[in-house]
This record gives sequence, structure tokens and C-alpha cells, in this order.
Amino acid sequence: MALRDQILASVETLGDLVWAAERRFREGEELLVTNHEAGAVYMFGVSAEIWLKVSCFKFIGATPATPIDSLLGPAKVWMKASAPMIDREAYHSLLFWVEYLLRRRREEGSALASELAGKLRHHVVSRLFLDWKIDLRYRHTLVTEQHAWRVYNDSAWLRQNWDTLWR
Amino acid sequence: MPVRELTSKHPPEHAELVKELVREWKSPSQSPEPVILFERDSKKKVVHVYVVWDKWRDTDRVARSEIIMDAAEQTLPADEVLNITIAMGLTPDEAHRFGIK
Repeated sequence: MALRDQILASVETLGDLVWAAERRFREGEELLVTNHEAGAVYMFGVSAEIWLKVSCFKFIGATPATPIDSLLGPAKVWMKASAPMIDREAYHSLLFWVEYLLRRRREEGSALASELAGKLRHHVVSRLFLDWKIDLRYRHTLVTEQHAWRVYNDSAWLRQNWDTLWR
Repeated sequence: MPVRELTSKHPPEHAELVKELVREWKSPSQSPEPVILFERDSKKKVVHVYVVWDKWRDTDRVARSEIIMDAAEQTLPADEVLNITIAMGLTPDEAHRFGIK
């Protein structure tokens, strides 16, 4: 079966996302060690986006079988009420998902511990958000090895902590 | 003076589907579709909304979720809309596969 048909034959679930985040991260590592820095940065950003989404959706009670698409409309409306100035960038914005998580947790009386929230803001809002955008896939970018390793470190932080962010 | 044309972010069918769904939501007709189903949490708040509708056939799944939420905003009080975490649009075949009746 063609890959397109495989994708269309089933819905994307939260369980798929957890798997995909890890795969994209490891693919990024492969690219980084073979000096394909721009590709590596793209993959690390994709994995960060996915881990953030998983954390957000787990916090609101989604299960591994929950179809992802059905969670996006409500997230859009919730953020429109809470932070209308943040562009969701077709649901790819790292800033959008960080703010969704922090604000939603606060709203529900379960604010993220300040140290963890600070680290999340540092690694994602102050760094990854500024280094990655989904549109990178269409762009010719020059990325130094040092820069790519920094993106790796920020994404690796999320890889290590995403499962704590929603608990 | 700058001249520019404003265009909707959504295709025209989006508004049409929202309108139809709002109409049905506010005053259910005798027609078999759309079927609007709710799930409530332990506090009896609506948290999941499912809409079974053959008209979803040509609409992608993210747009279905957005259309349902746009209709919810025109139908429910704001605090109830913000409680919704799942808004899923399914064709009758998909609903059958998901076991949603």
C-alpha cells in the first residue's frame, strides 16, 4: 500500500505522536552526526513540537487512542479566549503550545512548578521558538555545527521532561 | 490610498457548515443528520462533542473540529465552550468504525 493510502486509512492518535517524536529526534541525531545541520535542526524542532502537543493533550485527559485532529479545534478556541495575540501557525507554533500548557494548567489550579516552568520557557520560548519554524522545510538555511548542537540540547531537554510537564 | 481585498481564511463551505450545524444544534430537526452527541465529565460538564454527518466527507479532520467549535461558540455559553476538549466530526462510516452511535 502506498504511504499516502496508509496515512489516509487511519487517524493520527496520541500514541502515534509519542512514537513519531522519538523517531524524528533520532533521525535528527543521525543528521547531526553526519553534518547535515539544517536537516537536523528541522527534525529536532518537529520532535519538540510533537512532545509539547503530547504534554498538552495528556494534561487535558487525552488517551493514546484519542485522535489528534479532534483536539485542535478546542485548543484553538481556548487559546483565542486566553491569549488571542499568539499565532498558532497552523498548530505548529512552539510558543502557542507552551503558552497553552502553562495557561491551561494555571487555569485549572495545577500550575507548573516555577522552576520547571522557567526551564520550559528558557529552552523552548527563548531558544527553540526562535530557532525553529515549520517553514524551515521550504528554506535554504545556513546552520553552524555549534548552533545545531544548541538546538539538539534544547530539544533533548524536552525529550527528557515532556512526561513531567503534563503530570 | 491602499486598496486591498479582504478574503476569509476559511473556504465558503466552512461558514455554510457552521450555519447548518448551529441551526440543528439550536433546534433539532426531524432529519437523521447531523447527529450531535455529547459526553460529560464527572461534574456534568460537556467535555466531548461528536458530530456524525455525511457532509464531512469532503472536509479534512482538523477543519471538522474547527467547524464544530465555531458552531459551539454560537450555541453554548462561553464557559461551557471552553470546557470542551474533544470536538470530533465523523461520517456515518467512520462513526461505525469508532463504535460511536
